[in-house]
Amino acid sequence: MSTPMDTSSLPIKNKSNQLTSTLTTDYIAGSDLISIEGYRQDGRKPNELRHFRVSFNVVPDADGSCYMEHGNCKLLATIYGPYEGESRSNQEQAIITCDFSMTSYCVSERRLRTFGDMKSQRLQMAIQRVFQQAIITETYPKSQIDIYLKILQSDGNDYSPCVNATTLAFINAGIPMKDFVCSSTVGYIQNKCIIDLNQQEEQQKSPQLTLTIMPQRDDIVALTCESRVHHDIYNEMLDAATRANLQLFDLMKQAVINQLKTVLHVL
Amino acid sequence: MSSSEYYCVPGDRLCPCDRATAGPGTYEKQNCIYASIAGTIQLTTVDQSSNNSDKKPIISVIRQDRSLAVPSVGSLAYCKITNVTSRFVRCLVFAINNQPLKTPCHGRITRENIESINKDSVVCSTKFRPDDIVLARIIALGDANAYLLSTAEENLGVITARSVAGGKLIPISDCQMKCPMTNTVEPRKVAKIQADLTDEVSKLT
Repeated sequence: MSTPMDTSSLPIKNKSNQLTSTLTTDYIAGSDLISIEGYRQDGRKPNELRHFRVSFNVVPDADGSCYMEHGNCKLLATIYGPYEGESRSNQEQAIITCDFSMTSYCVSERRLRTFGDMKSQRLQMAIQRVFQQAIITETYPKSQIDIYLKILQSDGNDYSPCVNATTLAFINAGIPMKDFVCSSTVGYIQNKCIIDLNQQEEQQKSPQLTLTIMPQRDDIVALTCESRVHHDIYNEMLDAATRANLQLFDLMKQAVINQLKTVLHVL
Repeated sequence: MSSSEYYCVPGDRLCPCDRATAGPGTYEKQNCIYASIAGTIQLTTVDQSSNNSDKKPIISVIRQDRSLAVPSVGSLAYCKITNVTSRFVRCLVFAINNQPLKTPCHGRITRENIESINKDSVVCSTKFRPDDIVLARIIALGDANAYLLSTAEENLGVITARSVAGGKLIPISDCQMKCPMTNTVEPRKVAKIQADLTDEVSKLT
C-alpha cells in the first residue's frame, strides 16, 4: 500500500492504477477523499462508521418501530403485524410485504416522485426477500407482516440503513428472527478500503460493495458489487465489509439491550 | 426462575440441545438452541412426576412488554359468535390462551364439532346464538377464510350470553341457560367452568 506522502507529491495527472479498472483519477485536485493524515472528508478514519443513533417505539400505534440516524441518513422503519392478511392463501408461512418511500425534502433538490420509481421498487423487493429469510415465518402461518420505510433525509446509499432499521424494528415488535441482519457499504479509494460510504464517496467511480450479513451466524444474506476488481482487492473489501458489519452489530445489540433495560425498570 | 436478569438478542446461542428443551422465543439449529426475540432468558424446570420422558428444563425468552398471541392448533380461543347457520357457526376470535389479539381472527365451528356425543343430530341454533361469548379450542388452521374451532369438550362452550329480552343468562345445566328478567329458559351449549370462577364470570358483561 503506497504511503500517503507519495501521492500528494506527484503532479496532477491521470493515474492508471493497474489493479482497478477505473479510468478517472483517484483523487480530486485540492480535495483528497482521504487526506494526507489519513482522514476522510467528513473527518472519519477509513475504518470508522458514521454516527449511529436509534430510537424505539416511535410510532405508538405500530407493533414495532425504529427511528435511525446513520450519519446524515435519517429514516423511520415501522412494522405492522402479524395480522390476518387480505390475500390468505393456504400458506404455511407469514407473508412479508415492504413499502418504501421518501419524503420530498430528503435530498438537496426537492423530489417530486417519492415512491413507485425503479429505485424504490428494487429496494422494496430486496428488503422483502432479505427478511423473508431472516424472520422465522413458520411461527405465523396464514398471516401478513408489513414493513413501512420512510426516508426523512438521504445521504447516498439508502439500502443499508433501511436493512438495519428494519432489523431493529422487528426486534422492537418482538417478532422471532434467526439473527440480526446488518448491512454496510465499502469502497476502495486511494488504495485503501473505506467503510460506510456517504454520498460524496459513493459518487466517485471507484469500486464499491454492499454486504448484508447475519453477524452471529456468519451468513451472507446479500452481496452487491457492480464494479470489476481484481480478486485480491475484492477479498480485502469483503473483509473490511464484514468487520464494518460486526461493528454495526455491536452498536445495534447495545441499543437493543439498553432499551430492554429501561423498559423493564419502568415496569 | 433466575432472579438476576440475563438479556439476550435474536441469534444469541443459549445452550446445546441436550441441556434443555426449546421453549417459546427460541429456535433450534444444528443441535443448539438460539434466542429468536430480544428479552430476558427464563429457565423453567419440569416437575419430575410429569409424563415427559426427558426431564430437561425448558429454556425460553420472555418479553414483558409485548405479548404476541398466535392462533395455533390446540390453544384455547375466546370468540364471539357472529353467524349461526344450519351447518356451521361463524365467530370472531379475539383472545388466545388469555392473551388478547391485536386484530380479531375469523373462526368457524362446524356442526359436528359442537358436541362430543350425538354429533350428527345437533341443531346449531339450539347450541349458540349470535353475540355469545364462547370458549373453544383451535383444532386446525382451516382454509383461507377461517380457523377451525371445536367445543366438543365439557369445559368448552358458551361462557356468557344475553337472552332475547336482553338479560344476562345464568347457566342451569350443560344445555340450558335461564334469563333472570323473564325466567325463560334458552338452549345453549354451556361451558362447565369451576364453581369459584362463576362469580368472576358473572361480573363480565
